[in-house]
Amino acid sequence: MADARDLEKILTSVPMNRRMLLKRAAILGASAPVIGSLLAACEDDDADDDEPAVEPDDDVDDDVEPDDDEPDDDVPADEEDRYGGEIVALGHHEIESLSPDDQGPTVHWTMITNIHDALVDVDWQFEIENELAREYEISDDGLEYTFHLQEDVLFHDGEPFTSDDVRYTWEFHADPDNGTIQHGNFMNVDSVETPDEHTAIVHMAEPDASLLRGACRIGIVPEHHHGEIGEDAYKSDPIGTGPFYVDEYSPAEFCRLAAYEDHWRGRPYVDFFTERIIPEGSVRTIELQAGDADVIVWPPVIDDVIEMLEDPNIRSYWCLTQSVNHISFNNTHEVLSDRAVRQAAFYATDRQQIIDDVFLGAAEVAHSNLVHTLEPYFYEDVHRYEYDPERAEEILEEAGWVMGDDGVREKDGVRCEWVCQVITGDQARLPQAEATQAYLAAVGINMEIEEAPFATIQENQREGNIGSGLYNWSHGGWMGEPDMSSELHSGARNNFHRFYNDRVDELIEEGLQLVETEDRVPVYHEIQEIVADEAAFLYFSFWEWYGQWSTRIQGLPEETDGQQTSNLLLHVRNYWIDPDQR
Amino acid sequence: MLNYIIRRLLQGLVVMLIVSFATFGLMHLAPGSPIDLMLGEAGRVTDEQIASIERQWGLDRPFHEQYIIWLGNVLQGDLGESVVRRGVPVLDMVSEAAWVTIQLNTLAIALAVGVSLPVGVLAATWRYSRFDYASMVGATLGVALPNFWLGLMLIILFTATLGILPGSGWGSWQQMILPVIVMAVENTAIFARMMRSSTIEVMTQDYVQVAKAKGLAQIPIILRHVVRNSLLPVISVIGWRIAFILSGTIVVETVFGVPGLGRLFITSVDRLDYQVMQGIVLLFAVVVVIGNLLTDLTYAYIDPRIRLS
Repeated sequence: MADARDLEKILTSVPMNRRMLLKRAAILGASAPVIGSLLAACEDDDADDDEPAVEPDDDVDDDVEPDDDEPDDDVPADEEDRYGGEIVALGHHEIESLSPDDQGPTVHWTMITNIHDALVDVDWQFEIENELAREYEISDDGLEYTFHLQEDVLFHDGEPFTSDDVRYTWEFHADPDNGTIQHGNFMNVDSVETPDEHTAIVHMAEPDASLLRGACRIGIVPEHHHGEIGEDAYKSDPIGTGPFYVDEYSPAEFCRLAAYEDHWRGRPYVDFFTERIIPEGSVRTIELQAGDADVIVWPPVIDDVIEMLEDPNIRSYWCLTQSVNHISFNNTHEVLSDRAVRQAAFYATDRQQIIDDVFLGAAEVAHSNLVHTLEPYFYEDVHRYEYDPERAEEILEEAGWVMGDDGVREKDGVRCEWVCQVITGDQARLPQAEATQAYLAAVGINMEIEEAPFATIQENQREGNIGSGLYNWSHGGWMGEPDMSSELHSGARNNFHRFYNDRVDELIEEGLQLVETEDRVPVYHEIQEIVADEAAFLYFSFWEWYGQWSTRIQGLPEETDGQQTSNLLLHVRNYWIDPDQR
Repeated sequence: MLNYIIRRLLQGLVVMLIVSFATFGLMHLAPGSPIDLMLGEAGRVTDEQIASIERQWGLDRPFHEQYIIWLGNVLQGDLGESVVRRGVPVLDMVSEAAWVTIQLNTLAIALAVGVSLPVGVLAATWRYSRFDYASMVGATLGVALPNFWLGLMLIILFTATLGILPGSGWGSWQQMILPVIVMAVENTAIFARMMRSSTIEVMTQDYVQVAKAKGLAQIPIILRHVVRNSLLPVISVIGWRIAFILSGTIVVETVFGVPGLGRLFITSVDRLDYQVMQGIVLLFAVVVVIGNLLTDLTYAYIDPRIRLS
């Protein structure tokens, strides 16, 4: 067993909360007195395990905020020392495109958002951060957004950025005939007016409160270049106003960006920012540990992540994902259409135990479709389904589901059973499905498990061919936006639960009409309340997500407040390499 | 001989046509859409948007129409454009990746042949010696060790622990060492075992016994009479192993991040990039057909008794 002082050194080598500290201490075999003394020293991270691990930030305000992404003060005395070197990130699949239209996959997004600037973006604390929009105003009726643009901004080819580029980009995405991936974010845009070179006024066909965290985050492309070569060619030949330009691009191998000297915020500290593609998670872990890379864009398996928590050369940031790990319920299924069965399934499943056993504790039980860190939208008083198998049996009995001779309940000749499909070869979630199956069986519910490709599961869900699917998917909360119209509205393509509730539809539509956060909050609280009461789907857990960086990278925040560690990659321009380790 | 080659090539064309149709059909029968994968879980999606993207990506036409258009283009040397990497010709993507895979496999097979043939011959010559036992234990291990595991172990040893070789990428000779070794190990084991048993069999033949009776030294007998005749089954196996190149490279290229055909294939399957999948399957059908033909022709060259006509 390690010496107490060694343990203290290892355990406190990265910023962490009490939860992480306990986990690392357990891994290292620390004794109770050692843990006690370390916890005492960890006064800032006093979160209870039943509470958010970190205090969420204040409400995200729609008002204009000054751009507050300056590097830390903990810097070398001579700023010149910060310049130079290369930051290497590791992605897990091909970088198929560098166009903002394809910024969905994280591996793409990492490069695209460093090549392009958008009007605004969202930082790691879910705060709206101004980029090309110096400031903006939103009309009271939510039908007009006026963006005052930064001046003296140049594209990478030296051409000036103007409001025409904003109009071009927005109209390109808003036109359904262009078939862009991002069209959904722009679907309510009517027109864009450009009264002068540095003002763009967006006129909405109808209010859309998700605009700031949706459309406004899409990078602006230059009309003179994109208009000339078209979207297809632009995917591999992008020109943005971002802090880096494309130096070398080999989609299956790497993309190397070089510092843009004339960036309107000033030249980035590092000369190059490269994303290398390594599909195998274990190899990404080894490369980071060996010092051949600085950050992993897509985390490896949780065992490797936990192993790296011990590494004194790696700084770890923690957050909960917005995607909820869940077992869907087909609300039109002959068994699952009965709310009693859905509620009983919740009560019957010991989610915390499954998290501890299957996910090594690296997740938190979900009490709503929104993660609790998404304040103020998360509804604290939502009905919670604690593990209570007796209550589950009671509900089923009351609903007329009678235990059969084979241990499976029946009602009117219908057996209480359905098929749950799990992604083929999914070694993380298959054991989760099996454990849930055992809990359900204990109260007389038979959930059969089948493996199928992800696309097959989703198609079966859309067509109502199966009772359940098990995977992770966000139901509101993406980039801090609570809108869940894509998943829970009756007309949504991705309403995988076939959950049709008129009141929820009304509320979702209302939530998008309201611009002010305080007006939206009660709307989303009510949606969560209904979703919980109806047990629309078995929201299981929110997984822990780790951003892990080499300690040679300086300028990173001390902690990310548990919000969105991936978004640290948006600010590579502010990071530099420790001159002694360059 | 020329007639034989033409006949075999024509048979190969029929095989390729069947393979392309079957692959095209299977891919389109598989549920899911590359559009959904690209859309992911962020952002709103409308049916109108999906229809528009399908039009843009050429996915709105019926299956048979898509196949006929594709086949027509292939006959003109055009494999179409990637569905996911819009605007990029499949031929370019496949050519770039194929060059990497050819380098990887050529080096791996050269290494395997270079090591396995002498080992197999020596093991047969010194039958039941320590060298024989050691080489055959090594061969058994070589077949038994999964590429995936071996690759990771080599990365842990040479990259993480010793820090002398890069664990990923392709281009420099240092980056080639580990993937080539992993690719070569299984083939070395198979070829060595095959060479040993083949050599033992040839050494019992009358003409070898006659050579010995004539008083020829062992080394000239082996080099002139045994090795050449022992090679036949090994060449056959090498030709047969060509068919496994794709499955072998998928694992190795994934572990070492090598941008070859195996990686491209698995990526295109993952992203449902129909055109790229189709291009790669067609390419491998060509490789297998030509590989088998070359094997038969090599047989004829080495053993004049074989009359292909």
